[in-house]
Amino acid sequence: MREERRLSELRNNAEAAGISAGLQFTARLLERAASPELEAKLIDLALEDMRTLPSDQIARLRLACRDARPQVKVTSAYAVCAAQRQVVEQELQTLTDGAVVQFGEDSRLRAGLRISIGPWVLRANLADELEFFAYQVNHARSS
Amino acid sequence: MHEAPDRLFTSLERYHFALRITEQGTIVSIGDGIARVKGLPSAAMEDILEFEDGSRAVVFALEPDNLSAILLLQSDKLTAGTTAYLSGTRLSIPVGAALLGRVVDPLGVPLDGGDVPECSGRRELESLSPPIILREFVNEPLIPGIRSSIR
Repeated sequence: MREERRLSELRNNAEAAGISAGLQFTARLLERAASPELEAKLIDLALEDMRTLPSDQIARLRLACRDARPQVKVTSAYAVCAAQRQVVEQELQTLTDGAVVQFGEDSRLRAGLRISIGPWVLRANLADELEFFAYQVNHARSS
Repeated sequence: MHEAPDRLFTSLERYHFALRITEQGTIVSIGDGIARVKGLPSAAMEDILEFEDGSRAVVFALEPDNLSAILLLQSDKLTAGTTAYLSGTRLSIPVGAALLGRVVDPLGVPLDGGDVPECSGRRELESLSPPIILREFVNEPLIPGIRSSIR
C-alpha cells in the first residue's frame, strides 16, 4: 500500500511539473504575441459571441440593468480604436437596453476585453483565458 | 491510471476561445471576520469567493439580496466596496505525503512556521471518505483537539 502511494505521488509530481511547464510556456508565448492587432481580433470575436448570446443570458443581463441601473464598464489592455469602440458601445446598449457605457484600460489583461455589467462580467482577454486554463488544470487534478 | 491528464486533455479538446460570462459582487460591510457581499446571484453554500485584493472567503449564509462569507484570508486592503468573484471552487487543501506532520489552515497555508508543502494534488475538504477497504489499519490512536463554542 505504501509503495503504491509512493509511486502515485511520484507520478502526480511528474504530471504537475509537466502541466506547470506547459502553462508557463503558453503564458510567455502569449505575453510576446499580445498586441493591439490581437486585441482587435479578440474584440471582433467577443462581438460575434455577444450577438449570439442565449436568450436566458440576455434576460439575466437586462434584469440586472433594470434593477440597479448599473454603469457598463469596458476595460481593455490597449486603447480601443474609435470605430471598434462605437460598435462595442452599440452592441452593449442593445444588450442592456441602453445602459451608459464607460471605457478604460488595464494592461494586466494583456490583450482583449473585460466588460462589467452590474453583477455580471463578460471576459474575452488573454489574462482571463490563462486563469481559466489554470483552473481547469487544478480542477482536473483535484476531482 | 492517468485520470487527471486524461480529464484535462478532454476538456482542452473541447476548448475554443469564446466570450466567458461570470458573476461579480461588492462587499457592503466587514466585521468580526465576516464579509457581507451584494451581488453574486448564483453563489451557493460553501463556495469560495475571491476578492480583487487577493483575500478569500467561504460562503456560509445566503439571503435574497446579500450573502455572508467567513474570511479565510484577509489583506489590509479589504474594505467595503471591494469587488468579489465566484471562484467556481469549494474549500480544498493540498494533499500528499508532504502534508504529513504539518499544521495548515483551511486553505493549506502553513501555521507551523514551515515552508509551503509541495503537494501534487488538491482535495475538497467536504468530500466522501475512501471506502474502509482502502484504508490502512489503525495502529496508533489520534487524539483530536477540543472544539468549544460560546452561545
